[in-house]
Amino acid sequence: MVRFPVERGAVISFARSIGDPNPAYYEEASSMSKSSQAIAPPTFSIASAQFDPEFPFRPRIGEPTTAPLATTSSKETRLPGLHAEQHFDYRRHVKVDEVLSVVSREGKRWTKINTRGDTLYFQETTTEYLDESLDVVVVARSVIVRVVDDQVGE
Amino acid sequence: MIKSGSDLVLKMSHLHVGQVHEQEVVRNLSRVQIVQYAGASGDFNPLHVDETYATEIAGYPTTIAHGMLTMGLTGHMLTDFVGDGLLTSFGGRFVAVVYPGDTLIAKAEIIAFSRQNNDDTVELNVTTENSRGEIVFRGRAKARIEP
Repeated sequence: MVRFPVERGAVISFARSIGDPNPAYYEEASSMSKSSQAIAPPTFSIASAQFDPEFPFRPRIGEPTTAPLATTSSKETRLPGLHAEQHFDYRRHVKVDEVLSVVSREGKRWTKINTRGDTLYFQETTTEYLDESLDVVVVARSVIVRVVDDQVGE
Repeated sequence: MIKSGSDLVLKMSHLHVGQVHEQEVVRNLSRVQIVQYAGASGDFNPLHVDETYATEIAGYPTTIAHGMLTMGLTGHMLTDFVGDGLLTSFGGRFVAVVYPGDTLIAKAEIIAFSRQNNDDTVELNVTTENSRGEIVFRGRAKARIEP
């Protein structure tokens, strides 16, 4: 389980990065919004990766950022995966200053052959975001696809 | 024109199936914004931020935007349309790559009204297109509305 504090600065930074000036996401929202508390954009929960020790794309101090992905001996993981699908179910919106607990579990795996004859490996993951009462706030389902480059030998 | 969200709740009586809300969510996507998103999301996959990696190792013509940046931009359109904190679901597939320099138009089309957990709900088809008319994200969303 990953502890995910929904920090005001992180929400503001995220809202800026998606070009959204909605006051509901900013500090002044507490006085401007009916909700009386700033909230997070609907896709913000993906930023729990900041707190996930196993998230592969967070730079780690003293470690190269690309080499492990580029030199692994496994064809399946030689290149990083791409996001194929993402789905969110909201029981309520995420609020600034709350602390969520994040629980992920792997789901289905499947393969497809693309038009070039390469094998596509799909992996589904379901992630629940729980509040401090352990009530579910958001359920996220992602599908990552890895494309095996059949031009590269084992 | 970048708009901001709203506390307003959509009223079913003001809506109809087939109604479309469309919004430009980014113009000429900058590499800076992609890096900004990497920092905000924590996703520093080198495909998004490392030109040498993207071109020489991964084989793309340049770096590519995060799929989740496209979805975040699309979510901006949705919350501008349906209001703040009213989405009950939002999801879809990333069907084409987004590159620096792309301009994206996100669109929501009302496809149905329903009751969900005793709430009146609007169901939306969601698509995001680049300026060449290619769909880059295709999905669905639901949001609570007033009768």
